[in-house]
Amino acid sequence: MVVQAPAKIPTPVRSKPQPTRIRTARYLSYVLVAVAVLALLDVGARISYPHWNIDRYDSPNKSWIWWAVSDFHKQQQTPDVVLLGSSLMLEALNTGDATYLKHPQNVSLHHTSTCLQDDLGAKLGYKPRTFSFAIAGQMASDAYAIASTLLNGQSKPTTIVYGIAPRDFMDNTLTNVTTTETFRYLSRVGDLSKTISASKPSFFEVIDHWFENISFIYKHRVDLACIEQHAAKALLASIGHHDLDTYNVPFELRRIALKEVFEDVASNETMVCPYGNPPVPYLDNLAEYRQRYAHMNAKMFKSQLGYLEQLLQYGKEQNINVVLVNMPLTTDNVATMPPGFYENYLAQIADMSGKYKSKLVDLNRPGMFNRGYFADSAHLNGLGGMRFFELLSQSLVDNHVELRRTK
Amino acid sequence: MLFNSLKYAIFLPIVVALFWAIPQKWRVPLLLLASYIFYMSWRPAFIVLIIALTVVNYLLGNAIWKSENRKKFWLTVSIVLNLSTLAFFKYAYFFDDVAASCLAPLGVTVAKLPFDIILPLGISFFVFEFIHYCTDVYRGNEPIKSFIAFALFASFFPTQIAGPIKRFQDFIPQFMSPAKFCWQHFDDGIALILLGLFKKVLIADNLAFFVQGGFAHPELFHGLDLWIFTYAFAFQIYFDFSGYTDIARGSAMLFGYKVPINFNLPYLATSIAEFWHRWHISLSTWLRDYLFIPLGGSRCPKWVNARNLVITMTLGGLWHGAAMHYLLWGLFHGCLLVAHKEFQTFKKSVSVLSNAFNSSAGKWFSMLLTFHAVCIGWVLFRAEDIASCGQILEKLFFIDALKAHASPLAMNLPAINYPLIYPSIYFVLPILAIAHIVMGKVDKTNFVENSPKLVKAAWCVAMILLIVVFSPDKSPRFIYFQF
Repeated sequence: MVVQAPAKIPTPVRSKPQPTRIRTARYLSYVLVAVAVLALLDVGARISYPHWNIDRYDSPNKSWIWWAVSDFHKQQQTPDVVLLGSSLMLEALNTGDATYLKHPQNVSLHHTSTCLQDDLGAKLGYKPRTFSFAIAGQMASDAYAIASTLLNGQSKPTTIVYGIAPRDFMDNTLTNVTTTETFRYLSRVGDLSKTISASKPSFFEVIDHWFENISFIYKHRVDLACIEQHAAKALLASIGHHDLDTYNVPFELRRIALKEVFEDVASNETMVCPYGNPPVPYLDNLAEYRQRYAHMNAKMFKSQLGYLEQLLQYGKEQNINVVLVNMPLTTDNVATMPPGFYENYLAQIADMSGKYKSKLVDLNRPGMFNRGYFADSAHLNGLGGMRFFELLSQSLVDNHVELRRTK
Repeated sequence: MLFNSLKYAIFLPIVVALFWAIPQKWRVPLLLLASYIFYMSWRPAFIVLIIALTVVNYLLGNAIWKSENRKKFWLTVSIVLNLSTLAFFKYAYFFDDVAASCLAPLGVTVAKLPFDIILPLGISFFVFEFIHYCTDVYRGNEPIKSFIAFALFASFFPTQIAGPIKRFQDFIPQFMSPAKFCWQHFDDGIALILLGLFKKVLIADNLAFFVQGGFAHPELFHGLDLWIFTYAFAFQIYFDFSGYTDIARGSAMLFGYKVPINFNLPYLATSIAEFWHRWHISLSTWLRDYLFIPLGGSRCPKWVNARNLVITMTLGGLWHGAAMHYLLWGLFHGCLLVAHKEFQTFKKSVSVLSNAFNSSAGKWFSMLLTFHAVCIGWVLFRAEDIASCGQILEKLFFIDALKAHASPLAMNLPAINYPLIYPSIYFVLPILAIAHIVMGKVDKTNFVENSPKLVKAAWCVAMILLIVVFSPDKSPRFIYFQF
């Protein structure tokens, strides 16, 4: 009998423990992945920034301030006298020079007062070099931003001549000092952070600023736009498109463009003709000024006076003479201001200039400029411009204002 | 509050976060409150109008539903009320001007309106949604029970200002079912918002700058220049409006809601009828359902059908704005649709012609022809007035059509530093046209939906970077806001 060996009891195959729940695949959010990649790119940009070769004076928009700064850097020597002011100074300079030189002046490129230089040259025996940062709509805060970011070190002039008028302290369309093109441009060039934080920005400006602090790419978006623009210009140049900073279309079209991007100025944007060629009638713009003065913002006025004080303080610290010039206005224009306002403005300016021992030249005294010198109720025409610089140079000489350190 | 503003960039995340943080039952009231805040950010007083119309239409909807034998009466009341509100705000000046110019030859002087009328934002859209609601209740659809849900249907902020025009049967059930946060919806919503911003800020706004010059001064240009301006406007309006719709759909998706699409690559249409199936789809289907079909639709004698098409499209044109050129634009499209229908019938009877148009080359030809017909329509739509419209059309076809400048103005206009990313229009337009055709091919394969997540992430990164770097500080309003 064959005894069969008992069949080996098969050992049960141990199955792996089954999970009690079916595991679902985790969803990977591609937006979160994108945010993580952006964070990495941001860090990468921060680290590599020194190699970007960014010119901090570069800008995708060629604004009035850009043209002025660009020209300022092209000067062979540091100017002795820097002119600051709004369109009141700008027009006096351009129409004055156009009339004096009997040749139209290109506002984008003309930043020297030949009238003033020649007049001073005749009176002093040497010609101080002048440079103008006068820009339409320039507020006292802009003037301070220009001085504190550009006029220092090797670029320090001997004297700043700042032409002021009540409207430079009370632009009722300005929401915040940081929103002007001049201020925005210069905040990239120099450190204006103290001014920005003291300017009581709006909620959205705070958010924007906060976001700039978080994101390096966002903060340097203008640099990236400049890089792209240079690439695009190189591409266009390769197909024969050169000289992209001038416009070549009828001015009607350019005007439409300006409405949308008023901060963009072409190199041939505005030409100013000599007085009387062609004859331009006097423009009655009193309605505009009535509107400006009627909605005077007292807070803004006070804040802008504060910036003027900072400018005077800066001049004192840097050993730069600051001459304040009360700009000429028609009597009609002054009459549209609220009663007592103009006198109060003058008194405050006089107090401030006295406090910082800066000269105050009042060129709005009766009899100095009759209506024939004005293009409208506030701006001088070519004859007025020439007379303005003649009177200014006489005042500078009479007041013994130092105009050049080394003669 | 514009979709492409910092205000909206703050407003939307707050509402989305609150929406998902609070219990289900409070979500619809929260969205309603947010929608009213959104509307009031423009002009607070007009909230009264939207609330009043909401209450009245809600009551009328119920009255239509409950009424046994006065359904038609209540529907008529609803339509008259909604249309007269629209007519007052949108067409009062137009009717006044038309009456004045018609009666002037008879020596009758029509006085100018003694008051100023401001057009409330989005009125054309929410009025059409109210008419749709009352009409569909009349046709047997059960009305919305919850007043809050009804109010939100009409004022839902992503679609409040420029649509898409929603249907309550699709939209309300989404409110009623409990919503759960879904990462995929969130991702797709954000991606759509980015795409919309990309289209609006980077493409439409830059083209707007270019187009504006050409249409404001057509007398300065020759035929070829004006053709380029016209092509540029065709892409501008498409990217502007479809960009808006993408942001609206993306915003809705962040709450888990789906809003109908409004565009489906319209310039790939091979006929004008197909164009209207691809362009502003929610409006064209509304016009079909609530105007064309009630007029008799297409199941009627040929001339009645043609009349219905022309009336529908002309009124559709007038819906876009109270001006004669919008009316002409609608009339033009109505006539094109009639001509297309006739040609279809003729084509079927001639087999050679039918085969030719069905071939690949025939389809490309049809597409090109349709696109140019639509472009001519855009001239009527965009022109500043009838006189300049006539001047542009004349130059496009008859005078100097083939004459371009030795140094074309169109080439020089954008050569100034702005627009930043598109210094020359000659690069832009062909790229946009090619992109349109490529998207048509890609869409068929669901390439976008099926692409790997890393590709989608890379796409999002690229769009964010481009938007951050190239967004202009200020952006024109969306074109369709004015309607």
